[in-house]
Amino acid sequence: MLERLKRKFMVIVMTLVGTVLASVLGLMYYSSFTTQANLVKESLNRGLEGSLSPLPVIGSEGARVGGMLTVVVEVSEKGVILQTSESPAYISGPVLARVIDDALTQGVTSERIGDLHVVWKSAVTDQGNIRIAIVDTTIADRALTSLLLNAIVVMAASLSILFAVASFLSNWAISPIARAWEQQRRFVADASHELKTPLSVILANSQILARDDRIPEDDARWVESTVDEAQHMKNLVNDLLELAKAEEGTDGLGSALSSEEVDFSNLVESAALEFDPVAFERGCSIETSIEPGLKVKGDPEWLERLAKILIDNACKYARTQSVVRVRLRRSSRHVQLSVNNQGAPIAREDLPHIFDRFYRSERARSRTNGDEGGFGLGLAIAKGVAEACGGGIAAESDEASGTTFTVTF
Amino acid sequence: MNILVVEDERNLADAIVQILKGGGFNAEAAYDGNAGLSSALSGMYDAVVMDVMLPGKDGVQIVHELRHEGNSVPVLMLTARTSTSDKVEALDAGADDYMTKPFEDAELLARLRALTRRQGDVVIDEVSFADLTLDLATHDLSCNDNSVHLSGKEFEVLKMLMGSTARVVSKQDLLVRVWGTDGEASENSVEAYISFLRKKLGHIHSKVQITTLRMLGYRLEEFDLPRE
Repeated sequence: MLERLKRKFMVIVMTLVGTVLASVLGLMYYSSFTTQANLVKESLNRGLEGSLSPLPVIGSEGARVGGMLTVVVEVSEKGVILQTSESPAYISGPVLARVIDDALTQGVTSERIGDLHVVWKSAVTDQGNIRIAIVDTTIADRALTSLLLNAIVVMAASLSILFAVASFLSNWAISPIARAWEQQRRFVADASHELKTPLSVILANSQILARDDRIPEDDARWVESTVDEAQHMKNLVNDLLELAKAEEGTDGLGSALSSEEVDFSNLVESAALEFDPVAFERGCSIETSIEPGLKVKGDPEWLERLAKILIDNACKYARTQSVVRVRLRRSSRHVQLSVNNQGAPIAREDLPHIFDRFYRSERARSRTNGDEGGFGLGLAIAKGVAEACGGGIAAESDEASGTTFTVTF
Repeated sequence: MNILVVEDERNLADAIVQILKGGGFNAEAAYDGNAGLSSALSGMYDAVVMDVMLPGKDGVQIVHELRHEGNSVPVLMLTARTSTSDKVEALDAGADDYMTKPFEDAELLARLRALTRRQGDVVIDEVSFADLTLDLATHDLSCNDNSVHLSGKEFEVLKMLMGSTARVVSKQDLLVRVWGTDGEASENSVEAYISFLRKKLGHIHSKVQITTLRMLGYRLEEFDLPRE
């Protein structure tokens, strides 16, 4: 449970910071890119207007923008070079030939030739010739590439450092919670333990009275009810201690549960068989569909308890003449146990709370015989065991398909 | 039979003594570890019921010392602690049995009777047929390494069948002996429990089957052929 919390915390922090970082770096890159593109456009346009070789004048207004190397040529329709601009830039023969060729044949008026780092734009002059402005984008391209690489490196480095920091922070944030849980569990276990001795006396005493023939019939019922309640308390106290032990395993603080490979199929089948007579006496029956040989890593005693709690629960709430279905199968990497019973469904507002301890729904039946009504600790223990063995438990309930508890390992 | 009860909680000690007396034993209480140890060493007692958590010496230590002195009086440890390691510690130190508090009076008496049974008393605590063994105390049915627990009525039905392996047991007999004159039960119940038993026999891979003989009843039979 705490592991999940820690992971959630780290994911949130990393995502948040990662997104912000990515956006900032992305924006910077985008703005550089746009600036460069505009510079290129301006250089091209200036090249196409004005005279063929204007000299750059430092400090004058309207001087050529940006220092982008530009060459302008005028060619006839046939491709004969009529004029080329002179200094400060020259262009190599093959490149020029390629550009002219493209300009005359491709049918576009502007093209970027990425591998040559060249952008050209053409326009038709008044005399019917074609003027082509060619801009060299090497420096711009290099700047952008390096910006991108830097951004990536920065991103990677920051995320790594962030990961380490977030990890430390999450431990620090979680530790008071872990401590509080440990204290609460310790308290429940200690309190239950303390209750055992006085309870032993009460139970022993009332059992002595129950066997005493000298007590008149009318008074015997008071003794009997005392014995019943004392036994009920005994079961509750034992359940509380069981719950505390089962939950020890879920917050990663070390556990009293052993961990071995258990033949879960055999275990579930055994448990189901044990409840056949119970189901029969309650007017329902059990049907099993168990894939053989499925193994689960956990404590065998506790896993048996888990199976029995679910089957017992299902039999308790099953409609008479209905069937309780126990299914165990493997699906990809998980082993899944599901126990279903037909009968009055659990109300939707109660469903998320049924694994809480001693949960009593608004419409719980009053405790008549044994511990019907109220959900007691059984399901809380089941959840504790499932999670201690590295799995999870979920419940679904509706009018049509009844109630199904699913445990996944 | 004299039983020594060593328990520091006086009310509980006295209640246990009373329960033991009600069960036909003589019993006396010692309220702390040292008194308990010296009483146990006196040899006057046939068994000791000892609490683990005692002031002064704790129960496990006392048993250890008892055994060290060569005293082999049977000891039943009583405690609120339920962990397996606590049980192992107590039994390894020399205790003969271990029970948790709170307890049922009937169970306490049954365990003490088991502890004080004299050697040589013939006790029938299990029944066998072919590869099946039925433990009469725990109601566990086993076949080689597999075992399964039987409920009350399942146990009674199988016990009847295993006790009459040469004859056929009729549904009527089962109904009367297991369900008594309970008006609620019918032949359906008998059939249901027979089917539960069949499932369990299959689960523990036993070669034994419950054969139905029409109009007559049921009989246990051993088959060497693979089950269908």
